[in-house]
Parts: sequence; C-alpha cells; structure tokens
Amino acid sequence: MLTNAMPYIRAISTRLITGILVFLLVTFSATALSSLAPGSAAQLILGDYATPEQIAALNTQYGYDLPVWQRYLSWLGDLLRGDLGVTLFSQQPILGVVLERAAVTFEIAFLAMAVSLIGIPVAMYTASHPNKLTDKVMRSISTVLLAVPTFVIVVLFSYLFAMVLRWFPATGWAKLTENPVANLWYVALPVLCLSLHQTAYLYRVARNEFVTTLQEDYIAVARARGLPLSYILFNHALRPAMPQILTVMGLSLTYMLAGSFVVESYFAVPGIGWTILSAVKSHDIPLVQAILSLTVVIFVIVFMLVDLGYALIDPRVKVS
Amino acid sequence: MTFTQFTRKSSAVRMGRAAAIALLLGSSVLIGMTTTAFAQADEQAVSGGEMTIIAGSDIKSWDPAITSGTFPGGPMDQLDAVYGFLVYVDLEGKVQGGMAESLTSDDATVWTLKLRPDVKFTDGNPYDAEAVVYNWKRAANPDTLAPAQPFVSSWIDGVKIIDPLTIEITLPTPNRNFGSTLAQSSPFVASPAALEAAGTDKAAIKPVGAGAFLFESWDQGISLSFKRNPDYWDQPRPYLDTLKFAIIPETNSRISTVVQGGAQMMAGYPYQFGANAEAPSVTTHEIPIPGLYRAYFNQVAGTFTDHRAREAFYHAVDPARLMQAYTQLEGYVTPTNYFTQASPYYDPADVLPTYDPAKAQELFDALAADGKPFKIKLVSYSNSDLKRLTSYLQQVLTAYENVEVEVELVDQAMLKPQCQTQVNFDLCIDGGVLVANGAEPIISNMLKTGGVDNWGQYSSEAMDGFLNAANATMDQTEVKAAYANVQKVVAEDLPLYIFGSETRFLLLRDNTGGIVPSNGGILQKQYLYVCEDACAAE
Repeated sequence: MLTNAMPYIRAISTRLITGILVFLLVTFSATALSSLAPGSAAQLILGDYATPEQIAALNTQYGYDLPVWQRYLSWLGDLLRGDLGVTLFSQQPILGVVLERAAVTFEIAFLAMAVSLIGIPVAMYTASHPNKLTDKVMRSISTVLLAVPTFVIVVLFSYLFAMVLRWFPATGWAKLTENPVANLWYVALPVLCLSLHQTAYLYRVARNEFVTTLQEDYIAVARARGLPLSYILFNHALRPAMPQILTVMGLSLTYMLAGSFVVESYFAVPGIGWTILSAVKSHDIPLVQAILSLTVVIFVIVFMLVDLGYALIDPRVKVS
Repeated sequence: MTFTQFTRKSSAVRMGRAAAIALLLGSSVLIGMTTTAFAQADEQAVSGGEMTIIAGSDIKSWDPAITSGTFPGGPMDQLDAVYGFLVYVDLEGKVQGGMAESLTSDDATVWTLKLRPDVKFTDGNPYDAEAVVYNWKRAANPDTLAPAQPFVSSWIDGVKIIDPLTIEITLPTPNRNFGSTLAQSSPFVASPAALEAAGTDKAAIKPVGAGAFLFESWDQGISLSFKRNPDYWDQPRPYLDTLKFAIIPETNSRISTVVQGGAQMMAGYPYQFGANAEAPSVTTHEIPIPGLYRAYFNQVAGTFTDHRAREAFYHAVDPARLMQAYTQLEGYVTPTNYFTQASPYYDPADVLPTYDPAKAQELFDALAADGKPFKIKLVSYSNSDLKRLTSYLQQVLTAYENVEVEVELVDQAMLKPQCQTQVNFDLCIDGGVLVANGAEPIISNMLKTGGVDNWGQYSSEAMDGFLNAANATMDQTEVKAAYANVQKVVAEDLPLYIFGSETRFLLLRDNTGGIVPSNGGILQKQYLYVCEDACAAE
C-alpha cells in the first residue's frame, strides 16, 4: 500500500518544494517591483501637500526606505508569525480582508468553471456527428467566442442583461452566507461573462480529443459490436480524452482567477481581482503581497492536482 | 444638458440668477443661518430608509483637515457625513450656518462665529469653541499637511474665544470672502480627543464628529457605511437611517448601477450619461455652478515660460473641437476668459487668444528660430475621456512644423504629486471642472502666487494685487472693477489654458428627495431622503 503511495508522496513533495520556490520568487518580485512604481504609500497617506522630508519620514516609520531584501525578510517573518498586518488606509486586518474577498473570487471562478463544463457533452455530441450542421454551428460559435476578449463581453452583457433587460444587477454583491438567493442574482453576470470564453476553449479542445479518439480502432470495434453511441462515448472515449481536458481545466481555473480582474472591476464585485487593482493603485503593498501569496499557493495546488489527476486517469502516466 | 445648451435655452434665467448672486455678495456680509430656507427640500421628507451614493474613489484617512474639492462624489462627501460643514455656501452664494449657527461680520475684518448650544461629538465631548479652535490650530500647523494651511495660518493668530459658543476672528486684512473660503477649505471639526489619540498617525484617526451620521464600517476600496446620528442637532434630520457610499471607479458601471437601481445617485456630466438619463425611474439634477475645464502651463521651467509659446498654444488648438473630442458632443461655446457669461463678473473687453493656425505656425517658427523649439510634455491621468483629449491635442499640435509633443498619462492619484508638487510637466491637464459658488476661493487658489491650485506656479504682482483688491472691498462696483482687471491680466499673461465650461449633474433615481447642494455642489446629507414614489425635482 505504502509502496504504491510512495510515487505520489514524492511527486507532491517535489511540487511543494518547487511551489515554495515560486512563492518566494513571486513575493520577492512584488516587493522589489513596488519600489519601482511611481509615487509612494507615504505620499498617498500624507496627501498632496506633503514635503519630500515628511514623505521620507513616514517612509522610515513604515520601513519603506529599507533595502528590498530587508523589507522582504521582515514581511516573510511577519507571514510566518501569521501577522499580515492591516490595510494601509482603513486599518482592516489583511488576513480577514483577503480571505473574505478570496471567497468571492473563488465562488465566481468555480461557478464559471462549472458552467464551462457544458462544453464537454456538447463536444462529445458534435464530435460524434462531425461536419454535420450542429458541429459546424458550434465550431463557428466557439470561434467567435474565442475571438472576443472578456472585457468586450463584459461591456456587452452588462448593457444587455443589466441595462436593457434588467435581469441581473449591474454592480454589487451579496454574501452567499447571508443571502444565497441574492448571491445567485449578483453572481450570474460575472459568471456568465467569465465562463463564455472558457466554455468555447474547453469545447474546442474536447471536440478535437473526441474526434481523434473516435477514430481509434477499438472504437470501431465497439461500434461494430453494435454498442450504443452514448455508451461508447462515456465508457470508451471519455477517459482517453480526459488528460488533455484536465490540463485545459487547470489552465482555465488560473485563467478565470486572472480574468476576475476585469470582471470584478467592471461589476464592482469585491473579490481579490478588484482588491489587488485598487491596492496597487494605492500602494497598499502588504495587501498586494498577501493576495499574491494566496494566488501563488492556489496556482501551485491546482497544477499539482492536475499532474496527479493525469496519473489517476491514465495509468500509463508515471508520477514523478 | 451641456452648459452651452443651457445658455441657449435659459440665458435670461441664468443672468437673473447671476445678478441676484452679485447683489447678495455685494450687499452684505451679514450671514446667518436660516433653516427655513430649505423648507422646500423637506416638503415630502420621509424618515427612514437607506441610500447608496456612488463615489469614484475611496478616502485615504478621516483627517478633517485633509480636504479637497467640495464637489459631489469627492472624498469630502464621506467626511461631511461624519463631521458636517461648520458653515457652507448655498446656491445663492450665501454662507449658511451648518454645524455652527452663524458666521457674521460688519466690516469683513472682524468675524464672529456663533456655535449652537448643547451640540456634542459622538464621544460625548462638547462641540464648542475650544474644539473648533483646536481643529483650526491643527490645520494651521504645517505638520498636519492641510491644503488650507496657508489660509488658516494667515488668521489663526487673530482668533479669540469669547465664550464657549462664540469665537471672534480678526483678519490681518479685510476679506469679504472669508466665510466662503472657510466653508470650502477648512469646514470640518473633529473631536479633539479623537485627534489627540491618533497623534501624528493619520491612518489612526477615528471618525468622531457631530455630523448627521455615525461611522459604521469601511471596507477599503469597496464601500463605507454610516448610520443615523440620533443626537444630531437638527432633528428630525437626518431622514435616512443608513447612508452608504459604494466605491465604483468605472464610469459606465456607475451609470448602469444607478439606471438599474443598485444605487441612488452619482455625480457626473451629461456627456457621460448619454441616453441613460432618459431611462425609466431615472432623472438628472443640475447643480447650477459652472466650472472651468483648464490646463496648467508650467510657468517656471520649459517651453511655456516664453509667452509666445502660450499664445501659440491658444492659436493652435480650436477649443470647440477639443471639447468635442473630450466629451463627444458638439455645440460647445468656449469661455472667452476666466469668468463665463454666466458670471456677474464677466467682462467681454479682454478675451483670450482665439484659434488661428497661421498665427500659431508663425509663433512656432519664431520660437524655433530663437533656439527655443516648441517641445512639450503633456501630463494628464489615464481615463477614456482624457485619453481622447490628450490624443487630440497631440495630433493637432504635431501637425504643425517645429512642434514636438510627448504625452504622459499617470494614475489619477499621482497627477497632483507630479504636477502640483514636482511641477514635472509643460502642460498638465486635470479632469473635470473646478467649481466654487462665487469667485473665491477657487480664483485665488488658481491664479494667486502660491495658490494651492496654482500648479503652474504662475506669479504676478499685478494679479495678486487685483485679487486682494477684490477681496478687500465691500463695494460691488469695486469688486467688479478688480475682477475686470484680473481678466485683463489673464488675457495678457495667459496663466492657464482655459478651454471649456460646464456644470455638474447628478444622475439619480427619481425617488430621491432633499437635494440641497452646497459649496461646489456637495450635497447636504441631512436633507436627503427616499420617497415611495417619484419625487426628485428636475
């Protein structure tokens, strides 16, 4: 039992070590890049009438005048103690802010991912009826959706569904824990906008995989045996296509987290995408670093799960 | 409705209002509080309910001394909810008592501020003369970094506490605009105990005031929430139980939120609202205080220190086309000088240089021949309107020979530091209009030596003298004469590039009541209420 599990343990350990290195690199870069950005937190706190001496004094007070490596080590030490500090202006505990807003982004990203899974059964159907009208129409639609950037979809959908039809709110948010119905109402448009592109992407990849798989000899044999098409698709075609689909899903999740910047900003959704944008603008570096840290951790975990998923689905893939 | 359209349709009404303002300003500086003046705003008042106002940006601290711009939707909106205006300027140009009962003077030199009895901060401390003077002294201290520091420090030594409810201020020189400048530059008073507790750390200041609302929560970058102050001095106001500010930087998102009912109102300009102003259950409300679209010439270094360069700029760009590029609307009539036709001080005698491409090229060539080629860095901040405007300027100017234009778009928060503090520009363009109900304090802020909004660091003894003269006299004829001289100097010196004028509007739900604009248009929160049916006045 343990012998069977060892490759997985080794794989997880390797990826965790790599993940830690990525984490250190990204968070250090954030610290270093913050020094290059124009203006400073001290300038924003003190206002437009601060003298260079007063700005310098506050920078000293906050430790912003220290060398990058020193600031980074100090932040890392605070992180290890579980003290992420408070937001620069409202003095809210950063840990609470990040967790609360991350929950919003994750909800949107996971729901968008769930919606985009529609692409798989549609791909199965059209792949099994290649070059028929449905296949051609779906390919055309997916091409259009892939060509339109998310920010254009956001503007169009906001106008159509919020302004003209008034089905969904234009901006705002209700917490899932406080009002689940209102939460669904608020989450609908962001999820729709975020999922469209990924649905089309997933559909294209899955269709190609299914088309290739359905041309295999063992599928021809299954058909010759008179097995129903649905049985062949789900029992013989789906599993071989899954590694590629899984990769796309992993990438999709990271794409959706990145896409949340656009969607959250436009729909005024209080997630980490919008938060990091405003934090960068206001030089709230501790908040930026906290969000980046969380994002890196999520990305590392997602890619690790995708890698492990390969091995679970396809025994030919070795975990290493 | 653009200002131009307004001028076409109702210039007579506007001129009548302007004349009334002139009479009010000139006739007396006896200023008193008349709560009945707003009886109309309260006619259908409904107590209770919640209102969400959309703001474009978040505040940075609760420091009552850090004030900037009394326009609606700005950071002072949130501070006003907690602190309330000590005094404020109403739409007729009259200074009204707010948290204070009155601010009066017979000679424009000695001013008396009367406070209301039994007003307390929400921490239980009295809102009295000591508290007001504490806040003024703090604002006068350079370490506080208050924008109004030069103004407050100029008279702080003349402040005398007569009794707990009376303060006498003796100005070094007469200033008939003292009340309006105080209202718009240093209007907030916080509990001294809260300020003391925070020390020098601005972020540690707790919002403890005696205003209409109590601070409830602040989710940085997202929203602020306030609840009704049950001990507010002006019962039954405030009418609202809850007041919220939603921070939505994206203009289109702000508009769609109001149209759909996700918020009660936002401030902006008609060119931004477009057809959304006609949406069901939505209306607009003009705040009839015109402000100027302007750009600052760097007067201390670079190309624009040469008068010919400033003149060439005026001749090179058609301001009507520039406004069209900026707002995507046609029909703008651009101001001919600092004061527009709507102002009682408007004087057609002295006008700014007009669009004349041939003359512009002549001046560009002359500058090049003198070894001073017209090479400028144009700085503004990054939003879609200003990108259009700066692109238009760059295209138009570079079509001339001997002209080079570099455009630098910075983050909005960095515009002031870059332009005002560092003076790192040749031409700096701020978005929106600067408004004040009456000439002051904006005109001195922009044109006087060392003025807080004088980003180009323009300095002229003649200008300073005329501005001082306009402030010092009680005779309206002399005031008008002084401002005529100001316009003459503006036309001669070209301290600013003035290219448009416009009034701000509110886009709001039609069940919004109690719209009482003050100062530069900021709303008095205690009057706001939500009706069951449509009640917003056009």
